[in-house]
Amino acid sequence: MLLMSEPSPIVPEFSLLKSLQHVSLTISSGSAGRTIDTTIAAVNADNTRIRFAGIRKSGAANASSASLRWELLSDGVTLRVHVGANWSSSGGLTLVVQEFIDGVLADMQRGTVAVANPDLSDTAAVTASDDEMSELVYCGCISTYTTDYNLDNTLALLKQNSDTEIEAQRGANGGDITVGFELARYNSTYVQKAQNFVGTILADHEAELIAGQTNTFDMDMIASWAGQKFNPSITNFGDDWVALTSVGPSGALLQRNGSRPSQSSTAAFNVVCFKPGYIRRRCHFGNNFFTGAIDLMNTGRIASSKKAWVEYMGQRQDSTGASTKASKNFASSMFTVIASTSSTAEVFLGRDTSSPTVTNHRPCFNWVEMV
Amino acid sequence: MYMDIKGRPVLLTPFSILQSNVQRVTLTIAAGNTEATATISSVDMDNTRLKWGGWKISGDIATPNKFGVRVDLQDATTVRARRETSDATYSVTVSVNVVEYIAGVIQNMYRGDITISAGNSNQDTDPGFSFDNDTGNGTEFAFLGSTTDYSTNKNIDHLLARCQFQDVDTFRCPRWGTSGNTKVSVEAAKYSSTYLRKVHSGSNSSGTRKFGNEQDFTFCFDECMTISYAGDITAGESDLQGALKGLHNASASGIIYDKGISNAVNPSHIARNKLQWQPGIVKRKASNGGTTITNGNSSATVVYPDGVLDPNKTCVEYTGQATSSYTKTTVDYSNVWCRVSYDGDDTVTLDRGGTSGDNRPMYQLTEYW
Repeated sequence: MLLMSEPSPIVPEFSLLKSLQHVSLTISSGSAGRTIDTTIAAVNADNTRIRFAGIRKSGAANASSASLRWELLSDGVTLRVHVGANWSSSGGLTLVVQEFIDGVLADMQRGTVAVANPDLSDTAAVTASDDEMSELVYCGCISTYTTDYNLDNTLALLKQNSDTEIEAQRGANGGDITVGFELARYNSTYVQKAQNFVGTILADHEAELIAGQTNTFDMDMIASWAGQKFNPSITNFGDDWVALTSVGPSGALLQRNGSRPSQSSTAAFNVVCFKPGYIRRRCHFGNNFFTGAIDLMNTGRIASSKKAWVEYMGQRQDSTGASTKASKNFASSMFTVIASTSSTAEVFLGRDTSSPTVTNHRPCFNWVEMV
Repeated sequence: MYMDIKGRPVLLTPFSILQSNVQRVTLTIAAGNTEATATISSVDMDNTRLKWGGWKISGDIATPNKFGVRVDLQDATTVRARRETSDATYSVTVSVNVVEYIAGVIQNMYRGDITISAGNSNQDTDPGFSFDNDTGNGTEFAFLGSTTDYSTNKNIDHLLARCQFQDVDTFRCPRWGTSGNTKVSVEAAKYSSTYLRKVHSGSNSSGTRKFGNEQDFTFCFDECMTISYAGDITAGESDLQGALKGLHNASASGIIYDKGISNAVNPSHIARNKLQWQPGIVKRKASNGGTTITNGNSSATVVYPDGVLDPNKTCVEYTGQATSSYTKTTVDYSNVWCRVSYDGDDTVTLDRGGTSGDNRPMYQLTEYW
């Protein structure tokens, strides 16, 4: 039996990754209305995806107090965060800058979709992008809604309607929102299929299996988050948060609180199915309660990896409680940061430290290591 | 040397735990017969596991004593399928994969027929060795079919059974009904934690829900998780849509339990083994929870990327099924029972004897290094 003293590649293929950078930002209480530019190591913006690893917020005045939107500028060295005008208190954001080698991405489009009061949705035209080879990624949302804490008005999802049109949707029509997106089209040399899915968990159900790409292997499939919208007919936060808890060729499972509310909940996500040989390992973590830090099995195995990242996949909140969405200060417990660095095997799950035990959370993330 | 969180050595380099090539066997018990056998290349029985591939029947067999089937490794070169009573008109076909591991992967092996006697709904068995559940040195309790002498009508409550951990030296085979004598073919394999980090045997986790995602082994990589089927019982449901369940998508998040319909009356009773291999043992895996044999058809296929799977190291196991609406006591079961089979290239075929209604058989495909 072979026991190695150092980690070694399991799949002897070449890497599709050119570089990977983890960026964790602190957004201070005085940042309202600002744009915050962070200089990163130079990348080719046309070959680069920005992966979202969560927002943490310490207190909020209203539902738009956690509004953030992010984008990679075309210069390839500026990661820009737009902070909403109603931002209050401090918070944090984790992003992963993932640069592929030439040829993985056939096209990259970045932009925003604006939804103005009193609309629930709006569309934006995009340059023709094969909707079976494209990933439509949520890049934050800026909201002007200040009436109360109700995220029905401010949370949004992104849906690809066709090769030339995308759509942003929200649950309620208070204020205006601006949703950031990346639309990445993949080259078929490396990717079998890439699709955007919108899934609805029906009334009285707590989960829905979204069938999609069956003819492939588990580890070649990578999910990304495309946002969720809240249902105004659901009173409590805990009943409406949705997470993508499992992804495989048999389907992707969207789940919410186990109490099975009598209304539906809807979220969006993408699945990119790489051709075999490019993904070394992955871990879709979707079912455990908040525990602070997660040791991915044992630290030695991935300690030297520079090719692994984590990505936010929604969350579940298990306590419905008595607080309604409108009155509950979501920032005290609702948001989660998932952070990872390339030098540790631990994935850190964070939330506001001022009231961390208010409710039980099950933050979900996808940990992926490419060859 | 790297250790897992309990201080045990962990494999890092791809390492084949297969002693010989995977052998795929199809056995058909012909009309008028109660048994079929197939000759295989010789294996060490103590190191070999049969992987249940499901079953199909060729027509409308009237009673479970004639369509219930179980398989076993009769000797080092023979796989056997049996039913309790012959049917004059129709055959029963099963698929089995034979996987022989290198010495040391399986520490203890028990195989046998467990009899649940008339009047009883379960039977406990001591396989002769002890085990933990949900820890290292765990034991997989694998279901290899059941047969019965029940012949009153089509009711499958008395035929369908499962097997699972009961306590440190006992496993249990339950069924929902109590009539007739039912035999369950079981392989209980206790693994070395050098190769298999954890095994967990259990059931019932999906409750009445359409889908459940059972958590357990969270701190691992998805490709290290596989499932094996341990039987399904009806829980008294009259409609098979609410009675039959399947499993798929094993990952660090858990396993998806899937019965195709929410049911507020009876919980799920499917049993399974969750196997968490050490890294470097499973090369690829996939499961089916989406592809359906649709009404009017007797088969469906899932075609994987060409030239990727090594047929000598790849096996497929049935992990249950979800159905459309069928009445348990009147249905033509040739429309219901499904089997899964890998062609040794890039295709898994799902098939059945009949063509009526939708059926979604599930499976675990595993390619070892």
